[in-house]
Amino acid sequence: MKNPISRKVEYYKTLDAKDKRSFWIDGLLNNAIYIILVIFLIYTATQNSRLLSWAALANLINLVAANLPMALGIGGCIILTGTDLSAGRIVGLSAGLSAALLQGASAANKYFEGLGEPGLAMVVLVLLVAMVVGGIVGLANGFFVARFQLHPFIVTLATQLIVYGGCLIFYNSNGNNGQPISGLSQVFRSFVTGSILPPIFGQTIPNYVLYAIVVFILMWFIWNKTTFGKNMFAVGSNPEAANVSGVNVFMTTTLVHTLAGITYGYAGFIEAARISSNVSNTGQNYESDAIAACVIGGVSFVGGTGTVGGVLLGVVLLRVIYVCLTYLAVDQNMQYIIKGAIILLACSIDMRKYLARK
Amino acid sequence: MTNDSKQTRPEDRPSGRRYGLFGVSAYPQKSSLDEKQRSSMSRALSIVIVLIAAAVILLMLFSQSSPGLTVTFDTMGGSEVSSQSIPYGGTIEPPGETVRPGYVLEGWSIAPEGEALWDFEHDTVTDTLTLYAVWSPQ
Repeated sequence: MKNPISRKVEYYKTLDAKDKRSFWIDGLLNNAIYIILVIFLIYTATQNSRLLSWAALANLINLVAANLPMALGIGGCIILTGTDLSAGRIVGLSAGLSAALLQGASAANKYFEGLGEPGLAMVVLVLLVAMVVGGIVGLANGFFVARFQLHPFIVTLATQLIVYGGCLIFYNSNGNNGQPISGLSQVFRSFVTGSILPPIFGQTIPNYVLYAIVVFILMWFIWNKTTFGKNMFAVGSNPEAANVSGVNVFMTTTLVHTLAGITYGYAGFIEAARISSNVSNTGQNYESDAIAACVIGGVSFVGGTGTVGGVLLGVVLLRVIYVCLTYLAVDQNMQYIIKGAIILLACSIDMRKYLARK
Repeated sequence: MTNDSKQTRPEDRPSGRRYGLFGVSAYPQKSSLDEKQRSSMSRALSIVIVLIAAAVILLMLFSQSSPGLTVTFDTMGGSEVSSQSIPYGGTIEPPGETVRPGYVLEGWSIAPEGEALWDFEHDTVTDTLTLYAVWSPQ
């Protein structure tokens, strides 16, 4: 049983000169993002050696764990050849709600003044509430897309605005007047950012990293081992053929968006404790990072393809690049330009691969 | 459904899609592009990929706003010592030799009065600062 590398070497030897050249060109272009990543890493490490510390690695793992669930949710929408622009605002609303319900008893500007100090049961309950709230918005998204054949872009654009408005109203109600919601309870904070595990190499691993691993495994199972997952890929590839084969396209589409909404709700719950002070603007533009991560990780915009491992890879790659930019102290405004350029790059590579498929 | 359903080949798809990413077919249908158009588009994309990659790398290399925090050394009468640029959270390199006739260098401190000495091994830089030489008479 030959391993893939020796098989590839043998294949390479059979190519003539012209094909050999295109082999190298294709290899370079299709892996341009990995090449950029390596260049970034090497350069940043030479400029700021703190990049190569256990602390930096732990920080990277934490960032990946915070961004992975959302990317997995949005990945499902992209596999359906759609998108979800409301993701960030759902995270923001969910974060605000979770924070307001789980403030400490003695918090200044307590949102729900009648609530006492929450216990662990309340924390778990609020997590479920956050996921339900996200799921409801996702359900609305999926319903409008599936029932009325509306473009996911326009549906989620609309729900993005509606959710943002709701979030603003929430932050202005109950005497809060737009102030940040902070002073979170100790139980909530230790549930999310506390650490069950002992420190590894001197770094503490917050609990939300463990939760992210659970979410990852769950999504892997859903995407690969359930009929729903197979249906999702089928509908994304070819809705007509899927329909003819007996797949309920309506239910699949609706459920994919609902599942995405649930992941956003969960992400908001985690985010509330992670950033510890939530404002109405929390979550703005989070979806752009999530979508970029998916595209980089091989979830093609043509639909029908993608793996959870790819999404994870995309999130890691994107985060490493961002971390490098931080350690290089690159101007914050320039970071926007670089992020946008990387998204364009990922899409161009994706398109080029699509055209080249025989 | 077999595993093949995960990745149908693009040419198996119907020629009309209901919607793509932006409500229009995001990708040109394979059947509507002939070999020549496909290869010219592919070539254009290759150029675009190289250009964007180069732009990203150049932007990274040349757009650092603050390569580090400046640490200046006030030698308080001794010979000059050059300043250093330390990245956020880093430690300071022990500065070069400085001499002041009739005095011995005790160390460096963040205050001219010279109370606590800067620990070059453990203390980290989180802002621009000036270190003052602490002298004691011979």
